[in-house]
Amino acid sequence: MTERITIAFEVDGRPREEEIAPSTVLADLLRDRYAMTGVKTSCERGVCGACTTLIDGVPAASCSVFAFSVDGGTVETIAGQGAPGAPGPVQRAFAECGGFQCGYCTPGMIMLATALLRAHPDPDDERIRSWISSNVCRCTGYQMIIDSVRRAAELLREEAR
Amino acid sequence: MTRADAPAKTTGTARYTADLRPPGMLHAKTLRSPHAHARLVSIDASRARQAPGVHAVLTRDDLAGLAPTYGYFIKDQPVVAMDRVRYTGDVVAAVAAEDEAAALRALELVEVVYEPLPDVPTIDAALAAGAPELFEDAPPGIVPPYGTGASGHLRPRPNVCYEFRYETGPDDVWDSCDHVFEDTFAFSRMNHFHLEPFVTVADARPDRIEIWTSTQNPFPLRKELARVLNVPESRIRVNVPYVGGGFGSKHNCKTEPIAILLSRMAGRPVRYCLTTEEGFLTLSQHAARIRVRTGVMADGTFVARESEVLLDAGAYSDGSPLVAEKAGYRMAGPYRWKHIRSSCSCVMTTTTPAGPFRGFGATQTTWASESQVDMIARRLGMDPYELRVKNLKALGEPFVPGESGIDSDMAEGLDLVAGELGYHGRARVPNRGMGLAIGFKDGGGVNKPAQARVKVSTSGDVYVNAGTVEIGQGASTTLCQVAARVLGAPLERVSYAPIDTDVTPFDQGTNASSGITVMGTAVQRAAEAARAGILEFAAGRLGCAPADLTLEHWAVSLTGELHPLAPMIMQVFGGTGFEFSGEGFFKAPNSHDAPLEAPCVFWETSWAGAEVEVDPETGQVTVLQLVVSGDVGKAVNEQVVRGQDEGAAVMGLAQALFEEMRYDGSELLNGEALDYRVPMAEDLPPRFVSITQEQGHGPGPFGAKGAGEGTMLPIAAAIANAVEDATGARVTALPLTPPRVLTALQARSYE
Amino acid sequence: MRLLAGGWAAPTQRTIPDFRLHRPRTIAAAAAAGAAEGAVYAQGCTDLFARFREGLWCSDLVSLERIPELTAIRRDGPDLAIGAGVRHAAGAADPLVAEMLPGLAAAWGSIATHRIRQRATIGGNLMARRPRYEMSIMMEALGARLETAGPVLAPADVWTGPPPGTLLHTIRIPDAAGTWFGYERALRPLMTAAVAVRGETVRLAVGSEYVRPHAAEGRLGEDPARIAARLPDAVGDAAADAGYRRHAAGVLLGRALARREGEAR
Repeated sequence: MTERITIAFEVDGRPREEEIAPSTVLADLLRDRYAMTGVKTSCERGVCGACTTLIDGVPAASCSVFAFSVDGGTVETIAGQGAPGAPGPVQRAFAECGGFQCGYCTPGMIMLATALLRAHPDPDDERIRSWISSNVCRCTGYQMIIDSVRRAAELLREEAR
Repeated sequence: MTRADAPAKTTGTARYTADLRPPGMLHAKTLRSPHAHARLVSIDASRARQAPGVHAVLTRDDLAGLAPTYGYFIKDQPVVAMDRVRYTGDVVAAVAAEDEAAALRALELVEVVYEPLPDVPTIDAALAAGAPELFEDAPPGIVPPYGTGASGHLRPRPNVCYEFRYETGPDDVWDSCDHVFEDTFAFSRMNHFHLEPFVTVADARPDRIEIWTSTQNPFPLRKELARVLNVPESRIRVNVPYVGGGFGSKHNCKTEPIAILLSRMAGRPVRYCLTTEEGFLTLSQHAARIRVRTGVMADGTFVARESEVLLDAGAYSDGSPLVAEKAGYRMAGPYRWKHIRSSCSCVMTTTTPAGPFRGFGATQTTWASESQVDMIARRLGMDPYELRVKNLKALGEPFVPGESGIDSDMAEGLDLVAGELGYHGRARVPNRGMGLAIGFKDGGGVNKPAQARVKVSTSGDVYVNAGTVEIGQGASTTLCQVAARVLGAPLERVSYAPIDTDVTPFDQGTNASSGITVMGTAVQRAAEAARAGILEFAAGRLGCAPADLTLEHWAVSLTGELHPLAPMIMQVFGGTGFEFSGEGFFKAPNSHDAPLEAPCVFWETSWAGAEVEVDPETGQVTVLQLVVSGDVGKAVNEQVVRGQDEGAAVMGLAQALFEEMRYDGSELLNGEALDYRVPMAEDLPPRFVSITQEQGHGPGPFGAKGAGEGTMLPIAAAIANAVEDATGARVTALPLTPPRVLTALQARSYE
Repeated sequence: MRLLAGGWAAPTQRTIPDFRLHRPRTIAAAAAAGAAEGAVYAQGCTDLFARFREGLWCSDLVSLERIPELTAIRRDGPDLAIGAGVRHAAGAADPLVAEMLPGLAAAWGSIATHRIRQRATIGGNLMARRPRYEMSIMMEALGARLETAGPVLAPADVWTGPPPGTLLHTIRIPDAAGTWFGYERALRPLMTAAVAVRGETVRLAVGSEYVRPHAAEGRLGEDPARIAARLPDAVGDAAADAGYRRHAAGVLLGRALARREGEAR
């Protein structure tokens, strides 16, 4: 009885077409079929935010999004932000400021920060705290993540110049 | 300096156990007890075995030939339930299937008959006369050797699996005390809430068991698995990829035995990954009740302290005896006493087992001890700061007889934090106040050995082989920095090898803030041994003494002239090259004079200051500023120690204000990510300052001391002390919820 | 976790049952599809996945994403009519909400987290029946009418369990233009107070940590503590007893009303 549907969407700028069961969850599609294990899953009910990706530019917990609902849309993940040796500006800022420890929340935090800095290129601390409060980091105590976001804003501005 | 794991972790390319997918991998799911306490009358998994996609089913009927219970000191926790279940969530059966859905469907077919037994949800219930006992017979256990004044006792009374006692100094000094104060404190229980779940991928072949697992102590785990599985240790290979947080929880057997047994039955690799909810049913911190009796002179001089700590150990002993040992030992704090007597008991209840958690008994004792210091000061009409300074031990003074000297100037740290907070001469504003507290624990583990190997390739690339797990604390960076500094190599040429118990040198575990002192010293010695081999080789080639040479950037310098090593090596060993290798080892020397059989490696010291505002109408506490500091001796990596200090402090802040596992009887009410509140960025106080102290007295490489637990210890007491400073109301139970604070405010007004 | 015959087990995202997917474009079509036994509505999905993790069975998933009416916010005489599919971020930023009921706009923008507000919807929040969620507290105070494809429900009716297949499409806030709304979440998650003032009537709703919200009414000028004292014992739970909640609710109500007076000046 298993129904299959076809979806077409873009992952990190690359067009994808997939036949999936309607019950397929976006995080599992990314992790299991595309081996994009940079998308971390933890609480699997949308609270912790480790699996945060940008769906049509908006941060969302990919553990709580059906793959069918991104049909025709775009998904951005940590893999699209850069790679070791060629990290993107937000990634560079987190590395430079030590805005990570165990690293499990880090891809989600970086995606959250990426969305924040697109919407608000020069956020004040209150806005950074408010956005970063979407996701859980159990290691850092957040201050070094906040520093990283501030630094990322600087790097992005330098890059735009 | 940027961390070595930054490129992998910030790009999402770091691999964790949860990410692994070996070919043919099956998925495991478990069935867990719906009762807090019940006899397991029957279990029939025959229909589950026949279910589609199922490859293996594990119940108590499949344990023949095994030693099917595990634990640190006491082997009381079964791989799957045997005669009884002892808490809601106790594992009863496990299935490996083609996918998780098939495994879950098969669990629906497992038929279990339980005969419910009365539960014992709390310490009081467990210790009550005639309380039901969780274990009819004492499970097998050991008491480790203890030195002067310390002792351990298995099952000293019903529902107590272990008791630690310590005593020093004559007890007749009580008679000389001007005042004796007795207070009782309650400590709450948190979940570790590490983001990478408990997870193991096991590939068990008839002749060889290989696992990849999210663990903090691969070597003791291997030993315990060998015992449980009844196979030689050499047949078990434990690999540890990056670990996504642990905070103490990922020690010894967790997901490993079930994953291995299912893999062995199925003949396929098995992944057993718990959900967050199952994490709440696997391990927690210890709730505690702590009674402290302290005798003092009228001028505030401390004389004697007697204490009784009761830890809620949950349903199985796990690391509780070790935590009890530490809690009992640490009750004295960094103060001078003529007499100390302490005991700590692990009380078994029908709740999630409790075990190691950041702070390891010291969070519990610091809450009680540092709260009581303030209470005593107020009763004597003294400033709590002055009372502390008056009684603090001096730099170099042994903690207790037979112990190592305290390697921090405790008063200096207190002064620093008090100054930064603005404690002295603070303005008196109604409902606003400040509090201080000191964190103090023995660091580096008890009698803890570590070995390391450092290898250098022909081209000067360095490999650090060590068993300290990179769990977020930055060990892979700092240990590489130690080797880099000894070998004069740039950090980017040094790599931290993946942990594989077949080849990685032995380590006791990633715990006790021991990375930089214990393993760091082993790595330093290994690097020095490698350097000695290199210099000896070069000296032979250059016709000089090794002492004439210095090593830098993979060349030796002889009277200012640089001789690159790579060509020299290839001249001797051929173009295919060679590797220099050095081994290093560290363990604190055994000493029967030391209460815990070996003197403490270093003292993990920390200080916290808090300013709060209390809403007198609702009892809500708002932390306006939090100042924390740890003394790291000498920081090997400033970013790493800052991160450890801040992360630990925020965990302490959450414990102080709101975070707790909340039970209704034996039923956990909030074992789930939304209902269980962990701190978020918005919970940070408006002013949050962490200061890394480098007092320079550390025993580790280049004067380093450990970090990671210290700044969690004093936070709750500092905040409670600030609440009393603000309002005159004392709260003796955690967390400082608004109802609790309001009750204390009302009690104050009735006084 | 899901309770099976033999004990608890932990469903995951990989154990979500295979279902037939329906993507209707009208409310009527959605209600028809949702009438099937085992049918489940899906919109923002933030709560739905938690329910799957608790073992929710689903044979037919009725996605409401393609129904434009569900995301409309309109003025209907003095009433404010909010589509059940309005996401929190959209509702909080909506000019009509801000104009008619500025206190609701501010409160709406403060719930959950930034990330969740982008996806979660008012309807999902209400129909999830979770004490921790906040729209039911606000709607309880506002005396909202929940318009479904069947009967109109009061917010409290949700907790007693509307029949399966009930499709909430509109949340109607009566006389929004004539209502003042205040929301006090400083004590979250321990408790939350929502206050609506219509004419001389003050309606207070209190959210708890583990139990559904409850309301009490009084008159302007009445001692807030007296109004709060009318809250039932059921406002108490394992996190705070009813005595504390009533006391603190009186404090929060007093503060909200003081704020209202300040705004009026």
